[in-house]
Parts: sequence; C-alpha cells; structure tokens
Amino acid sequence: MLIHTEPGPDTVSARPPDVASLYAAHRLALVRLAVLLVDDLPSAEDVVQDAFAELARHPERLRDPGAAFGYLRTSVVNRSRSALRRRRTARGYVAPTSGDAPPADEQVVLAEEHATLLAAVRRLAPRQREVLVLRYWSGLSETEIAQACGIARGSVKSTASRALAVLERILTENGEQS
Amino acid sequence: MNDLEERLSAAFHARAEQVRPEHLVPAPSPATARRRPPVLRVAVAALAAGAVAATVAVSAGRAGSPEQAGEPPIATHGPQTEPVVKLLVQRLPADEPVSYDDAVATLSGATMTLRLAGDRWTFDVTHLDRPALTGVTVDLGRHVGYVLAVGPQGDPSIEVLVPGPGGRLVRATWSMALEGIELPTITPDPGYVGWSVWVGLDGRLHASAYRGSRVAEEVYRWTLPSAIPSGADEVELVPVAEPLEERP
Repeated sequence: MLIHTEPGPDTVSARPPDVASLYAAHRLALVRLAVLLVDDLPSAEDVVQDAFAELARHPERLRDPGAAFGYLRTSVVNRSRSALRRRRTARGYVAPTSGDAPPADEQVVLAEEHATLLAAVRRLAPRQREVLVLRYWSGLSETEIAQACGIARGSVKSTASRALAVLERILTENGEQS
Repeated sequence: MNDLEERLSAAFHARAEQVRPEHLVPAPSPATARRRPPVLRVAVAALAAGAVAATVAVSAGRAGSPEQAGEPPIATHGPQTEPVVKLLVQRLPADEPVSYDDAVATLSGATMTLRLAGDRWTFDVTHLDRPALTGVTVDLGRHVGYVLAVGPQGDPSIEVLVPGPGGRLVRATWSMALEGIELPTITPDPGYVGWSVWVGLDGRLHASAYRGSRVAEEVYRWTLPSAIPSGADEVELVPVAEPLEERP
C-alpha cells in the first residue's frame, strides 16, 4: 500500500505560525491533497491558497502551533467541499461558449486503470471521497480523518465502507473488474 | 487491505504525483519579482471623454511605509486588517439577496463598475447571460472568496483579488468608476496570480500585483493616474519604487 507521508507535530515548530515557512514546507502536499478532492490543479491551488490566506489573517485560531499542518489540512478539506459546491452552482450559469477545457495537468495520461478508478471516485458523495482520500492517500487514522472532516470517529469507518461499496458498484456497472 | 483498496491507493498516488512543484504557480520571492519589472498597461479607450489631460504621475510609496503615500495597510497583512467584506448580490429592483455561490457564478464573465455610497460599495454588473442581474453590493464588514476589503474598519478602501493565470472565477478584465471619474479597463499581466485595485487614504487609486501567493506577497504596486495624456491610446505605468517586501 502506498501512503503519502505527512508531517507530524514533531516536525513543526512550536513557535507561533510562520505562514511563509508553512507555505514553503507544505504547499505542495496540500495541493496534492486538494487535487484529489477537486480534480483540477487550478482549483486545488486556489483552495490551498485560501487556506493559507485564512491562517495568515487569523493566526490566533491556531492554538497549537505544532498542529499547523493538521489545521491547514482540515481547512483544505472544508474548502474543497465548498469549491465543489460552488462549481455545481456555477455550472448552472456558465455560458456554453465560455470554454471548459481541462487544465493542462489533466492531459498527462494516467494509466487507464487509475483513470477509471478516479472517475468513479468523482461520482462519490464529497464526504465519501474525502474519507477515502484521507485514508488511502494521506494514510490518516480514523481519529485524524474524523478531525479533518469534522465528523464523528464512528462515522469514518461506516462512510469508508459505504464509499467502497459504491465504488464497487460503479465499477461493476462500468464493466470493470474490481 | 483488499484489492480495491490497493488500487485506490495506487490511483490516488498516481494522480497526486502528477502535481509536480514546477507545475505550481511559482512561490513568491522578491528576488524573482525583481527580474521582470512589469508594466501596467492601461487602455485609455475606456476613459471618460472629459478626462483632463495630464502627465502620468506615479506617486511615491515605498515598501514598508504605506503611510507615506496615505494608503491603508493591505488587507492580508496585519492585525488591523480583519477581512471585512461581504459580498451580497441583489437582483434589482427586487432586492433579493442571493447566495455567494450565485455571486461567484455571476461575477464570472461579468464586467463590473464599482461605486461608493456612504460606507458601501456597489458593483454594477454587466453580464450578458444574466441581464436581470444588475447590481452587486459589497458590504464592508465581512470577507468572501476573492473579494477582500482592505484597511481599518470603516475605511472605504477595497481590494479585489482576481486569480490568474487562467482567471478562474472572476475575469481579470474589468472596469470601475469612482466619484464620477471613470477608470480604464485594466488587463492584468497573465503572469501574475493576483490583482488588486484599491482607494488609498490619499483618495487616489492604486493597483497591485501578486505573484504566487495571496498570503503575503505584494510584488508590485502602481498608482493609477487620475487623468491620461490627451490623444494617448495606452498608458504604461512603471511600478512604484522597488517591489514590496513581504510584510509582517
């Protein structure tokens, strides 16, 4: 199993948050997390940028400086969910001729198997998707996922279980062997 | 971990690893910014016909000393700069508030004219696809999305950040009017990620460009002229002083 390694509290300074340093250290990892949640790189960059901007404006909200990455991760998860919500609304207004070309990074070919699976993931409910990404990419514990998603710990397991079941069903409907 | 979980993990990693550091908008750096002093190109065609001819003036205003130019602090830097904009969209004349989501959708592709009335800013929005929507009110006091107010509370300064390149939500070409002076349409250099225009305490309009980050990096600042030389069809403004250093 591949698990992305995220920084623990011991790798973060206990001093008040230095947003610039946090930005340099964690931006890429957070953009990668966001791109799994919102699909396209520009949106992912915006989500992460806003998360940092919020921290810069309200450093007092981070009571434990050692928890900066977790704070930002939670912010990214929440903002990604909002971005998906806004996207659904915006699609109702965008003119057909306005263009909706995929960002360049999506044109890099993924292995067909990966692409098929990620397409199925996009059909999940946002919360289900978040839980799967945090579990199978970030490698978080149920407790950490619960914190990042703002749900009860007991809901994490059931949400993941349901998400996997839905994925199985989608792949089966699409003729995939799971 | 079953087969599906293994495949899921592999797919997530394959997608995430596609995002390489070089794909991201470059992280801000004053050193990088200095390499390419940008020129703000102001299209004069959009100016009101009554504009008085004058030499383009670039006011002083140095890094770290915004007070010298009579300007308020930038919104995102400092304790006194509580985010203070709430964007409300009104369908005039029905005056029905709609959601921020609607506002984002509306602003996308729209042309805006900004006016100040008391302590409230009003956008007049021209939107080809939604002609019924003619007004957006920016209410100082809250923050939303890509619109940020600047300055101390009650200060009628406003900063509008337009993400780019790619102009995701708000088209990076727009116009504004203030106190009867119509200002030109501004087309940001696509190489800059953020763009702002605000009114300083000196009563003049200023523009800033942000590269890479909307957190703390204002890399260039210009002061817009209050008038344009007669007959000019474009005015080039050089940045005010050196690129601004990151603020505390």
